[in-house]
Amino acid sequence: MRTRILLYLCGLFPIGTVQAQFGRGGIDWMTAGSDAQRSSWIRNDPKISRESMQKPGFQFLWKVKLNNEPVQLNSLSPAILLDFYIGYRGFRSLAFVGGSSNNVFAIDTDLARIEWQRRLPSAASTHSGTPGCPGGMTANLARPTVSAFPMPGGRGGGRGGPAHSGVGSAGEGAVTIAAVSAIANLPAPPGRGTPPPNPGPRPSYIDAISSDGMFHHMYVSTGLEPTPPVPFLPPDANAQGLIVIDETAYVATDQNCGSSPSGIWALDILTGHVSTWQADAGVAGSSGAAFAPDGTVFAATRKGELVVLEPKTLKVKGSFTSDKEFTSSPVLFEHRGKLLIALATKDGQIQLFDTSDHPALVAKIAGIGDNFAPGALASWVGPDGTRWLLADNRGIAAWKVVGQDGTVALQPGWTSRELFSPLAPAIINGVVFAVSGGSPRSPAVLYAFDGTTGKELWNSGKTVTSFVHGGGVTAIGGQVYLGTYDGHLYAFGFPIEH
Amino acid sequence: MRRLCAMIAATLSVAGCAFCQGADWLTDGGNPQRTAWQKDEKIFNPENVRNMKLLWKIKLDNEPRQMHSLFPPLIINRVNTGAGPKQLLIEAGVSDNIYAIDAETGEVVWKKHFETGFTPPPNGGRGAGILCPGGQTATPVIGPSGTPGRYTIYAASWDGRLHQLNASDGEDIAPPAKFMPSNGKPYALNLWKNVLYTHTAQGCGGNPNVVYAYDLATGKVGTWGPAGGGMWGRSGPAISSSGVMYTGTGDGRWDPENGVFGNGIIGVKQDPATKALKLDDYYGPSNAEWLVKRDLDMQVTPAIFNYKGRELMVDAGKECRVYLMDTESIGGDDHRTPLYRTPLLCNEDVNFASAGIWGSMATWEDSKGTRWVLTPIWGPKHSAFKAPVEYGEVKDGAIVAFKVEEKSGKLQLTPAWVSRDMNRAEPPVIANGVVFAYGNGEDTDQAYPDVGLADVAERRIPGSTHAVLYALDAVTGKELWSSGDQIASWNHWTGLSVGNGHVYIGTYDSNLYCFGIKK
Repeated sequence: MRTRILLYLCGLFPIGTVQAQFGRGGIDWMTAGSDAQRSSWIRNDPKISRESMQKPGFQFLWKVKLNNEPVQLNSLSPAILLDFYIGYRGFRSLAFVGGSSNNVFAIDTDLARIEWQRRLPSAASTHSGTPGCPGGMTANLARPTVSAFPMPGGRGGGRGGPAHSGVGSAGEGAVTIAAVSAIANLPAPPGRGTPPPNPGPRPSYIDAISSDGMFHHMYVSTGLEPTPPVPFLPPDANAQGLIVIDETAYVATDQNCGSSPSGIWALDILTGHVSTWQADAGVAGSSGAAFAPDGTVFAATRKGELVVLEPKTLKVKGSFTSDKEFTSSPVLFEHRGKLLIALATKDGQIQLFDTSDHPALVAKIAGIGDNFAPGALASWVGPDGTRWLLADNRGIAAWKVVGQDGTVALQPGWTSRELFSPLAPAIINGVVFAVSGGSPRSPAVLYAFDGTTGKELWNSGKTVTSFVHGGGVTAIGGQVYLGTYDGHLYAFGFPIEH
Repeated sequence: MRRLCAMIAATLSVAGCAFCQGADWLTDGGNPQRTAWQKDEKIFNPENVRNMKLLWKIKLDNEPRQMHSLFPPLIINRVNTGAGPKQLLIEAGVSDNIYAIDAETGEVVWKKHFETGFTPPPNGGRGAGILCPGGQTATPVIGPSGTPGRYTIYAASWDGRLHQLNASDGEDIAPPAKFMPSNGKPYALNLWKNVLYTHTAQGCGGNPNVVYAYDLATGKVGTWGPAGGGMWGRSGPAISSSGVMYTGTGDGRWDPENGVFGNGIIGVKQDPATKALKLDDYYGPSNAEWLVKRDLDMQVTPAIFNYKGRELMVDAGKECRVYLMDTESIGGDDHRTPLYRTPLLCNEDVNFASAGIWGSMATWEDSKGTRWVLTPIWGPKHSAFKAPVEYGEVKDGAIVAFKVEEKSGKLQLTPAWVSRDMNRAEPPVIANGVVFAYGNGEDTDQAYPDVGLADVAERRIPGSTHAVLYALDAVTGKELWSSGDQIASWNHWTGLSVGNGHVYIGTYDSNLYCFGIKK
């Protein structure tokens, strides 16, 4: 009887999902490269998969014109995503896009409506702007995140399970009485103890650095700032890879633009204290520093230095000096119990470093070609456990991280069709999205490739009518986003009836 | 002699002689079909309702729980009490109280408090909160006993037991019986052919969200579910002439192939032999995936009515559309196709709170045979929705009226009028050509610009103001009367009752107001 009651109740309460909210929320795209390790990898998606992309369905959904003036070649930053938010105006999936003219836009990604927009106050710049030091707002937006590896996540299975019919014995009431009582009387799982008190609802923020170097901490619901902006960088810096971890904002600056030396910067948001580490010859790549799960900061320079910094203080903990010029931001990943970092070099190598102690070069692969400057690498693990590295280089190239018994090696995987001015790729549930960035004379094209084979699954054809410079594609919740030079944000995905 | 009888009849009619041809309101929504149409009203009419006054109000000793307080009072036109026949109101309070109130004087005739041995756990199930207030959450239902002037009140107390009370004196007719798990959240009880129906929502008390059917003859309780995130139509389930119980299934995944029926409408029916509940029919809007993504629940009690030989049903949800269905097959062959679906009436911002359609539907047929459907809406009217007659900008809510019409061989809901603006319009009641409606004055916001979702009574109670009762011409929607500032407080999750020249409304501070035609 007790077993039968428990089985009945288990049908009513599928374990782990009884309070799950179906169809809402996954792992979001929080910063440049998605997460603190800069992997550009979204592990799960409810709709995008290698299987679904081989069938009709994925398509252009909408585009929204955002009111922003380009600065040099910069226009819109890659969309930072919040897939599930319960706001005062309703449940929302939001994309946050930075505009080079100090604009921040929040877009309802289901309805293609601008939820709010703000022009960040910024003193007029005296900087005339060059391609290397364009001025304007150069850093991506960011949402506070964590340094831990993202959990696989994904959406809950839904409220309750299949419907059941039951009849209680005469005078005994509903069968649910005994079933609920049986659940309530189950012994508590060991080690659970008393749950911590609920801290209560907390605000969600979207962060930006305006061209005058001020750090802005805005409510995701309105764009309003509960506290005044905080000084962070000198004006007109060429800032990249803004990320916020544990109440600290980090960003990289390059090219010594304005009065800003190249380096890594850290702002304690609560105290306003700014720490810096200066990089000789500039910070490599477009995604800034990468972070280990314990918060340790890894940055690469064009002088060939991989430096290890303490979180918050940016004190140097270690470094590796190469004879090669690094050209990408680091991407950090776990492989067979080790934390490895991958970097690209200008002479066409991918180098792997073990971060266990002081960084040590453990593998490399060459022959990619000269002037290899991918900006950012991407990394994911395939369904068979294979670790992949990807880079944009006249197309998308993918390598496997292999090896055993303590050794690590890189093997060529696949190479995509040729892409013109490719941007950093993103991997969504095994599908590699890449962009042929185009030029002022040829518009961009979005592609989808099978992440394990490189087979082209889909492309956007002539849908996109402008080019893309810098940044890349971002995605969550079955939708992929791309901002173009002419100020449009495009969305692609599987349509649903509204 | 004939002239004397006529004089007596006229006198009794003017005096509002409920005893002679009076009106009952024995269940939430007026009847098992939940039409909210007081068909037996003989006193109110569009002319005299302009003279309606506050006849009495009484403060009951019921403690509110979270934002719940009093439920819509039920009306028994003639009950044999120890003090003679009386028109009684049966008023349920959330703190496990039942009051019998003299409808003419507003005095308590008897009170019953359900003693319970139930002790709520610190964080049982969903825990205490606006969505799970605890206490008695279902409007009782009244059934005739078979003896004239004698009625049985059926009520479900906090501990989940069924109580059967003699309406004359509140005494137990039968010992309290096991019905549902304790600390749940059942909605208004319905009674059909000696079976009590209700459904639960919000997972309160850790209980699953299921339909319950208490068979009074055998004492067996059938259950069916879960279905989505919960079934929380304001007036509980509606029941068709064939005994199918319908309700919206709240929020959840729509996956009927796997037995999951969230964000839709289900019909279940009792097997008379086994007393089990079986799924009889179901409908899932074609945009169910969208509805669940934006938390636009299907959470409104439907209304069932006859239309030219067909038994039709209307229902709605937070998205702010009304669905017209045929109970023969509410969703058609694919279970996704109703007879008609309106455009959006409101909720242009696609909000999960403070907008959309909440509560219950209403329907009536006028003397010309026109079938009307009414719905409350919250928030601004949709900019694209127009009715031939409107009474100014709608910012906070309104009543929207449709006519059921046939065009090109298909049934549709044709917009007729939109009422004046009301602060959170609630389900109306129609009586003799008058629509009684009210704005509840409740702060219905659940999320805030800074912290997002924070749905707590501590925020909402201070932001609530006061309810306003309206009388509208049922054909034109024109306002005939308003209570203005006479009602001091607001209310949450209750409703109106109308009968015999009186309209009743309860408020959060446990006051019950009676407005009517002064004799």
